[in-house]
Order: sequence, then C-alpha cells, then structure tokens
Amino acid sequence: MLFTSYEFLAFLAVVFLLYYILPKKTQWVTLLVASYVFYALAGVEYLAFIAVTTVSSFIATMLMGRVSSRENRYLEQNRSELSKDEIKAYRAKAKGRRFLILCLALLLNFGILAVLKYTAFAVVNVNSWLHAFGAETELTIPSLLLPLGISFYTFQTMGYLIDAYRGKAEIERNPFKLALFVSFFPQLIQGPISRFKDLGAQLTAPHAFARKNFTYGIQRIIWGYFKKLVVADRVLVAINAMIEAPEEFKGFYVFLLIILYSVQIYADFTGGIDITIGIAEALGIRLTENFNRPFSSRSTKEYWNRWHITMGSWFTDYIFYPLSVCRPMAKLTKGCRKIFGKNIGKRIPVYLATVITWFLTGLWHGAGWNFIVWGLLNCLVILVSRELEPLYAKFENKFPRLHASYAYGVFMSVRTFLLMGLIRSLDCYRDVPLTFRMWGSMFTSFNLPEVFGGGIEALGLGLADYIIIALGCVVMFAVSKAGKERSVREQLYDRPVLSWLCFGALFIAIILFGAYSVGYDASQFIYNQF
Amino acid sequence: MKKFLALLLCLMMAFCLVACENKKNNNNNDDDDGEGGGASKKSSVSFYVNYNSVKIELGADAKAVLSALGTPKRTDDQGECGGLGRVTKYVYASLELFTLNNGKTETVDGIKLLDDAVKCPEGVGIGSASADVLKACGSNPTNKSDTGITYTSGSKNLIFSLRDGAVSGIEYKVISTKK
Amino acid sequence: MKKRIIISVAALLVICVLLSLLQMLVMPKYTDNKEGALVSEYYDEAGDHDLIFVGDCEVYESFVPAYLWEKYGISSYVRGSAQQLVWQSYYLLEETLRYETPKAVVFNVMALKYGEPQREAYNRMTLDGMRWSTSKVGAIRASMTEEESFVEYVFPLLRFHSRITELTPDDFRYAFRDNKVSHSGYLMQTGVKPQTDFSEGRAEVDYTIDENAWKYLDMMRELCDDKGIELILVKAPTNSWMYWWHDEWEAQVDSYAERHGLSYYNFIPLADEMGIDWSTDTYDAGAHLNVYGAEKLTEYFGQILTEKHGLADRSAEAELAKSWDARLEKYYEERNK
Repeated sequence: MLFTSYEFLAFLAVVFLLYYILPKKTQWVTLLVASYVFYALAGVEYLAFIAVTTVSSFIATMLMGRVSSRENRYLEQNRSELSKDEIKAYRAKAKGRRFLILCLALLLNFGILAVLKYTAFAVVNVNSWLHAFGAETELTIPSLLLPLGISFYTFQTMGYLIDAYRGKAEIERNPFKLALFVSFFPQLIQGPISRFKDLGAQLTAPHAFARKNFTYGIQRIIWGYFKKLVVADRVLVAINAMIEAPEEFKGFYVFLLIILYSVQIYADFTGGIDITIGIAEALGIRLTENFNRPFSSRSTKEYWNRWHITMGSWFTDYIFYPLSVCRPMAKLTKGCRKIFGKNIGKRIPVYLATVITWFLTGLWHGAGWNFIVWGLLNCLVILVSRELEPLYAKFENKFPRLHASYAYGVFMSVRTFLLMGLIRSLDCYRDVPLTFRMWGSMFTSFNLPEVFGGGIEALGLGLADYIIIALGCVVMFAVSKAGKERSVREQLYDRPVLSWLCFGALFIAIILFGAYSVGYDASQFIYNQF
Repeated sequence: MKKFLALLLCLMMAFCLVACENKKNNNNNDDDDGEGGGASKKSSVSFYVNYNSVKIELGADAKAVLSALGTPKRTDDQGECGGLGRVTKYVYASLELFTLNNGKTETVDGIKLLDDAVKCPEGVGIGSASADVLKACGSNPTNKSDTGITYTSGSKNLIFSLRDGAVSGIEYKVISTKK
Repeated sequence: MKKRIIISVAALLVICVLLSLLQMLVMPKYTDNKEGALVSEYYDEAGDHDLIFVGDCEVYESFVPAYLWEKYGISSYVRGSAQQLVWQSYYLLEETLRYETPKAVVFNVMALKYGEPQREAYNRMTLDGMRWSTSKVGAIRASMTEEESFVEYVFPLLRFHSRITELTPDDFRYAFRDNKVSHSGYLMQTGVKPQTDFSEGRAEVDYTIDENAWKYLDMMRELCDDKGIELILVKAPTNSWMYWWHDEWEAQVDSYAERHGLSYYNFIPLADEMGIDWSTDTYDAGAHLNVYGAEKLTEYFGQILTEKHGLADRSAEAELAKSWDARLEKYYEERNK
C-alpha cells in the first residue's frame, strides 16, 4: 500500500479509530495487527521474512538473557569460592557465549538481506569478470523477492540485538511486543531507524487520546503529503525525462538535474518521514527526527548530521565505532604508528574505518556500483575536508569577519548543497561512467540558450508546474526558517483561525496541485527500494 | 557448533530459495506497454517489417517512418469517438500503414500487408501455409483457430488470417486496451 | 474549548464549500468534445418516451428523435455516449426505467465487441453525467479500469484537479449551469466529409464475442422482458475501415437474436435502400452519419417501428406535441444554421 493511495488513507482512518476506541491496554495489539495487515497487503509471501527476523531476534535475545542470568546466578552463589582470575575467566566465557549467539543471529538476518538484495548484483559482476577473462559460460541471474522495507527493519532489529548484547537495551520478553517493534507500519517503508530504548516502551504503553498530539500528528501528515504530492512527484516528471534520455539532456541539463533532484529527494524523503512521524504522533508515539534542515549545512560532515540522521547514527554506532576500537584495528593502529609515525599512524585506522563504513552505507542504499561509488565519494569529501581543516582554520584566523559574515555562510551552504547534489546524481543515472560523462558535459557542452529557448519544454512540465514547484520550495523554505527555534505547529496551536487557514490551504493545495490520480505516475517514495 | 552453523546457513539458503519467483515477463519485455492479461506471453516474433529498405516497427514514432517511405498512394484518416485521437491510414503499393495521433505523438499503430511482395522477418507472407507460420513464428501462438493465428506480446499483436489452411491476411496491430 | 470547536466546524465547512466550488470549476465541460455532455442532459427531458436508444457513438449520431417525432409522432430519447460499453448501456437503461417505461428499447450492437473495461476517458464521459443511484454504482464498478478508483467517481475533483492549470473561459461559463449540446440525446453534425475509402477493416485477434458482453445483453433483455418492453437490436449503416463490423460478429448477433426471438436490423446492406449517399451523408469519411444521413436512417427505421413494432403516432397529444414543437424548433435552428 502506497502512502499516497486512497486505500492507505482509509486504512489509517480505521487504525486511528480502533486505536482510540478499543481499551488502552490492547492498543499495541491493534498496532501489531495493523502492521501485519499492512505488510501482508504488500505481499503475503513477505510475512515469512519479517517473521523470521522477529523470531530469530527474540530467541537470540532470550538466549543472551539466559546466559547473563545464569552467569549472575552462578557468580552470586559461588563468589566467595572463586578467585578473581576465575571470575574474570567465567565472565569472559559468558560474554563469549553471548557474542556467539549475537553473531549467529546477525549472520542469519544480514545473510538473508545480503542474499535477497545482493545476489543478482554479485552474479552480474561475476559474469562480467568471466567475460573479461574470455569465458563463454554465464551464471543465471536469479530472480529473488525483495520484501518490503527489509533494509530498514533488518537494521532496526539488528540494532536492538546489538544493544541487548551491550546491555544498552532491555530484553523484550514478549515476542509479540518485539514483533511490533520490528514491524511498526509507519516506519516500515523508509524509517526512521529507531532504537529499542527510544521506541520499545512507547509502542506498548497505553496512550490516552490527546487532542494536541493528534492535531500535531494530522498537521504533520498534511505537511508531508504537501511536500510529497505537490512538489516531489511533480519534479519527478522532469527528472525522469532527463535520466531516460541522458544523451539528449547534457550540459546545463545536468546542472538542472542536480538542482531538481535535490529538491525532489528532499521533498520526497522528508515528506515521507513527516507522514511517518505524523502518524506516530497522532498515536501518541514520538519517533526520532530524521532530518534537521539539511540544506543549511555548511560542510559535508554537518550535512550528514542533518540528513537521514538515524541511518548515519546507526552506521556510526554499530559499524564505525566497533570497527575503530576492535582488536585488529588496535593492532593496525600500533603497527601504523611504528611505520608511519604518530601523526599519520593514528589517522590510517580511523580513515580505514570511515572508508569501510561509507562503503557499507553506499551498499545499503542499493545493489549497484553507483551506490558504492556514491558512498565512497562522500567518504572522500569528508576525509579531504578533515585533512584540510588546518588550512580552513588558518583562513578563519586571517579573515575572521568574512568567515563570520552571513554571505560567507550562504556561500558555504550553497557549496555544500551543490557538492552533495553532484554526488547524489549517481543515484539518478545509476551508471558510474555515464554519471562522470554527464558531469564532464557540464563543462564541455554549453547549451544554456537551447535549454531556455524551448528545450526545457521537453522535460514534460509546463510553466504552471514550474511556478507550483517554485512556490512549493518557497513554502518549504519559509516553514523551515520559521520553525528553526520552535515548531510552526506549536506557534500556531494557540491561534486556531490562523492554524486552520494554513493547514486548510495546504490541504486544498494538495487536492488541487497534487501530482496524483490518472495521468500522473503515482511514484513510490524513493527509499521504498531500500 | 559447526553443525549449528551449517544448519543455520542451510536454513538461510532454504529461506532465500522461497524468495525465488519467476518474474512475470512484463518487467523484462521491452515490447510490453502494460499488463496483457492472461494471454500475454513473451513472443518469439518480431513486430516490424522491412519495406523498401525502411524498417517499420509497431509502436515506433511515425514521423521518421513516414518521411522515409515517401508519398503514399492515398491516405484516409478517421477520428476516435469523443475526439480522443485520430487514426490515419497510409496506403502504399504492398502495405497499409496505420498511425495513431493522440494529440501529442504519432506512432505506428498497425501494418497491414497487402500481398506477398512483403514478408514478415520470420520469412512467411500471404499465401504461406499455416503450418509454415507455426514453424517460423513459434508453435505456441497466443490464439489459434481455423481462421487465424495470433502472436501477442503485451499490446503488440501479429495476426495471420487464414483461409483454407493458407495465410490470406497479415496484420500487425497495437491493441492497448483489452478485448 | 467551545470556541475551538466552533472555529473547527466553521473551517471544515468553508473547506468543503471551497472544494465543492473547485470541483464544479475543474469538471470538464465538454464544449469541444461534446460527447461527454450527453448523459446528463437526459434528466431534463426524462419521462414519456415510447422509445429509448442505448449504445455508443453510432446511436447518438444516427438516430434523430426530433425527426422521428416529426415524421411518425414517436417520442424517443437517445441515451448514448462515446464508446458506451454494453454494461454501461444496461445500467443506463436500468436507471432510465426508474423515470419511465418505454414501449421499446433499441440497442446498437457494435459495443458487443468489447468484453472488458476499456478507456478511462470514455468511462468518464459516460459515467460522470449519471445521477447517483445504485445503477451508477453498478456501472462504475463494472467499468473501472485498473488505474481508476471508485472514490474518484464520488469526488471527481480528485480526478480532474489537474485541470486547474488548464482552465478555459468555458469552465467558468458552465461551472454552475449545463452546456446543452444534444437534441434529445442526438448529437448533430452538419459537416460533410465524403467517404472515399471503402476497404475492409483491420483484423481482430479474436472474433468471439466475450461472455461478459453476452451477460449484459442478457440482463438487458431480461430487464426489458420484466417490464414488458420490446428490445430491438440494430447495427447502424456506417461501416468504415475504422469501425468495421465483421461477418463473424454479425453471425453471432444474428444467432442470438434468432435464439431469443429478438428483432435485429443490420442497416449496413440497407444503406442504399434508405438512400444514403456516402459522399454527402457523413461528416467523417464514413465513420458516422451527419444529420442528412441520420434523417434518412431515422425515416427508414421509423417506418419499421410504426409498421412492425406498433409504435403509435402520438402527435395528436397536445401537451406532448407542445414539448416536441419546442424541441423541433431548436433542432431546425441548428440544422439550418
């Protein structure tokens, strides 16, 4: 069920009704049933996969819990008889057992994800290598199901497993409550990737109907649909025209694509997250924010602290930090310091961990070299920026007033916006050599007169569409600015007439200007494929 | 431990095999415009003919084709009800070309062969035996009766009309709506 | 709290009114392709017709109720629409019979070639004009293509909202009133474009008339039987290569008519007899008749209706004659322009 389908709206209305009509202690059951119905409507065959993740995680955490309680019981009973070394050894053994259980569960779930998502990609590459070496044989590319939201729910659940192992999350002893955490329908399609300690208890706690929460939730949902239907889906028409015939749309068109795709993905992704968070809020549940005015970022590092925040923090907490401090890395650090000296030596392991993290981040986005290159380019920019930090500091000291000026701030934001947009275009063309060729054409094909002399009409949008997109961007920017200190909804809450005016206008704008229904390609949220 | 690991890996593989499905041909076939219903199978026939060194392909943009073919013997155009489009018939020596103009684009909507001077790429033409058609184009057509054999791929159709076991008419036709 | 409720209710009302007004604005007015305006015009004239025509473009461009009244005193209405499918004909007939009970119903058989939903645009032209009833619900459900949603028929604003950037002066002119295009359902065409191409039509994949088409024809027949109405099948005399009536279809319809004791008139071979001249009596090279051709057909058919189907001459009924006089005046006003 698409978020933007009538069926989903009807489904949502039923869920809200049942949630608040039925007894509070059954609310979480309502959500669980709704989530599984939602998932089943995407494909009954998918249910098996999400069930396996749930069951395996439940068993793994219960087993880890059992090991922990046995450990504690044994030590409690025998502490006086055991030496310090014996206690240490026992603890290490117990930890080892827990680690083994964790690894098996991670292997199973990440293994399933890897096989379903990356087998075809692997086979295609193997075939390329075989051809390169002159082999005539070719492996058949398997056609595998890709369960809806598998990347999101797998990562979220594995995060819970790791937190449970680390003792940072309480083990959920009710398998159905855990099932709800895994399958909670608003965030199934595109996140945010929540932590069990933040979400677990909220999902299963009773929630009385609170007018404020419900109002805020509905308002946020409306805002999300506005961004998605009025702006994102409209811009997509032009983007699709350009990427379907890249050789026809070179030069300035590539620059246009960068700008439009940035607008499109922002409106689409943040719109989807707004709908997700809005639904949760209306149910009395607070989800983690996933975006924080990302286009105001002045550096790539800052950008990744503001864009897809939960994904970034997941990779940081579960990949980057463990990699950075693991024993092999510690050994590597020691070795590098010996060979290259303290300065370079300490950098290499951190940089290696960064590269691996970004490689995996790219891979998570999709089974394709374009995604991997996307990840590595982001990594490159971050590492280069880090290396240039002393230079930046010098500049800062030499021109303090310029550095602190508003204009310079705008310059840095625009620079970051364009750089991120450039790298992001790998997602559009989906082919690395083609993308690089298109980048090159921006400097070799001067076709500005052609573009504004009528060529832009070939993109499938009329003047009215561009006006609507522009106005939509203005509204998004204005709301972002207005909500910097305090959310717009909070500011409007005590002014009901103005509140109705604003959200009524948004609602009418969605109905009137939304790119939906026959004749529009009701596109999925971009991140659905992940 | 190793056994447990092996069992786990087996479980994973078995599970993933469940995920295998025969993807419907729609997604793989470039010829498809959409769901062709139960009758839509991937066909082995080509949906084009070569006429006077011009490749006329079903569904292609008509402008270039018409320009290459030159002046027809005659034309006739008729509108679709409700002003939704116009179909134009261009008559040449050995074939008729039908184009659909929906107000935005003009595409090749149909090709009707008039005599055996033009043959299908598979080598059969008007006058060929029905057995030869099945041999050349495939023994599993979408539709088969005493009066006709049809090969369908998505919205593209190749229709052989038969009379007394021989081909009496050949038509390529786009049918974007169902029966 | 009370103030909030009042404001909320008022705001919701304002939004609903605004959306209703916007819906009236963006609904297509069909001033260019007038076929879309036909179905809704029936309700102004509903009642006291002895003959109802149902079917596709061949029906609303071939039979002239005004002329039928003038020549034979037969009161009729054409409930036709563009590419009207047989289940749409059934539901339109079902709805019509809530307003009146004619003596006979004429169905043009060309629509039997379609057994499944076809095009959204034609669905809209036929269904949007219907008043809400169980018949409309049935027609929508039977007609919807995969891309359509029922809710978009309930709230057409959801379907036509994209027209907000394509509005024309006619959208404002006819936002609150109808644009009358037909003469008792007949869409007049006065243009002349001779038919010069008399070649056969294009081949079909399968000439078997679909089960679903027969099903709805059966339902129409049974509905007429229940109400004591005679169902008459016809095929209009037009037979261009674009809308070719294949022999295979003819055989099946003929057989059906014989099986069920229905009268079936295929006017294609009778075109000469009724005096149709394909150089002057068609406005689109033979696909459809213009008014001159339609009058000839109507005159020919009117005689059959009078002599063989007992439809009476009611021109002596003063009140009925008064309504028809007014319609005739409008008819000739356009015809003689």
